[in-house]
Amino acid sequence: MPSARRTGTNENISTYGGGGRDYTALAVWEAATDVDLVTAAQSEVLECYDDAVFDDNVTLQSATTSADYFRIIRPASGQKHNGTPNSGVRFNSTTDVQLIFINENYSQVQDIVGTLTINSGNSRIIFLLSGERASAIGCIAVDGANSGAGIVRGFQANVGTAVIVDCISINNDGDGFFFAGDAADDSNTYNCTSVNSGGYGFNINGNATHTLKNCLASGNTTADFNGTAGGSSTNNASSDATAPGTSSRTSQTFTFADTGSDDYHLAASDAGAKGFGTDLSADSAYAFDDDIDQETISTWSIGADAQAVTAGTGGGFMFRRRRRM
Amino acid sequence: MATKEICIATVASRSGNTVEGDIIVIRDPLPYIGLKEGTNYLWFLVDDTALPSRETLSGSSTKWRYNVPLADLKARVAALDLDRLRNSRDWYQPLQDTNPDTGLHRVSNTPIDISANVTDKESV
Repeated sequence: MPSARRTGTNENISTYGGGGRDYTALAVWEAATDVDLVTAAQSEVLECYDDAVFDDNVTLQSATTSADYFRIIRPASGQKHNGTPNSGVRFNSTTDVQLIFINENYSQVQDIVGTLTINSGNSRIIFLLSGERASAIGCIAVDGANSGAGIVRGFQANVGTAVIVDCISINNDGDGFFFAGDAADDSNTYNCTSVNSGGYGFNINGNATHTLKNCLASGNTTADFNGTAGGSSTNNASSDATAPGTSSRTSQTFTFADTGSDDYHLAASDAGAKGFGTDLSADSAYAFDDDIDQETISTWSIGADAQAVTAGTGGGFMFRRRRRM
Repeated sequence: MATKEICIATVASRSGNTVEGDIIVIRDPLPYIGLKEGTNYLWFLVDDTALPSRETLSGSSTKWRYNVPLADLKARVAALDLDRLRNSRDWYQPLQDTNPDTGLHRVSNTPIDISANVTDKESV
């Protein structure tokens, strides 16, 4: 069964972080690798180290890619977050542009924690996806704040058939997840969690078919879900009455591990989402079998975390061995 | 006046989307660069008084909007060796004397005012 984190064929890996790494600026790596990866028969990967909280941003575009050869930004081994935004590879950009914009087909950003802190009349996105199978996997968008007239959204799927899996949006001043595009700009958003947004948790716009499965929304200011989800949407859950699709669970009370520490793992006692997901390991659009912690899912739940934990004093969570594909 | 660190391409990229002189990065100064960032690029400190905004570096019809001809840079810094800047095999970071083994800068150059040398491709 495939991990949600796809790997490229013939990966050429460079490192990013502080002193001693290959790159200290995302844009330089991007400019050096925006080539015809298909002809070169090579994928380009940037493995990031948790050397600091980085004030940086990037747009991936212009590379020629395919389902086998594409670009990936992901943490290096041992550098991944623990399912909360308080660890792992983290970016806090203060530049008035999107934090990470995947504007080419098939390329992915995986397991990155992102924040945007700006003062702008424009609205910006922490993770923006535009392209066939442009993907955000296991990412956390947190505390996006715009002190100007605009807002900051966590995730947005634009033109193309974007994929968002195992992602969490926490406390962004705009929507947690926003979907746009015209007909055929269909997207697939699976096992994501959106909490405490200043707007909607999941906000569907445009004429495309945006399919949501196993998505959880709670405590979002305007409403948890908005708009018409794609016809095969299923097993979504909300704290209000808005969860769309078949087998939806509305007006739920969710129990998380430690919300005060932004830990939105499901507590063992959770009765709103735990075990109520649908199995997506053979999904026709994007099959996968692991959650935000990269743990193989045995019991499918709703939201980014599939394996409930026992909440300890101070909101603990078990450290799990990370599976590496 | 504030000081920023700038990265200019000194060699066209493999794809051709980045050309010699393109401004790729404007950032708060760091004490280092990456070990793959010392060839094909020149890093140095600049006076940010009339610099393009870092929000506008991407072009609409070209990958990068702003360009500083290397000849103009040499006119400001006579000691610059353009042949070395254009050699992809040569780690040449003379303005901050950057160590090729660690990426650490050994000196900080006096910030250079390049505002008169920046070409806005979208105004041409």
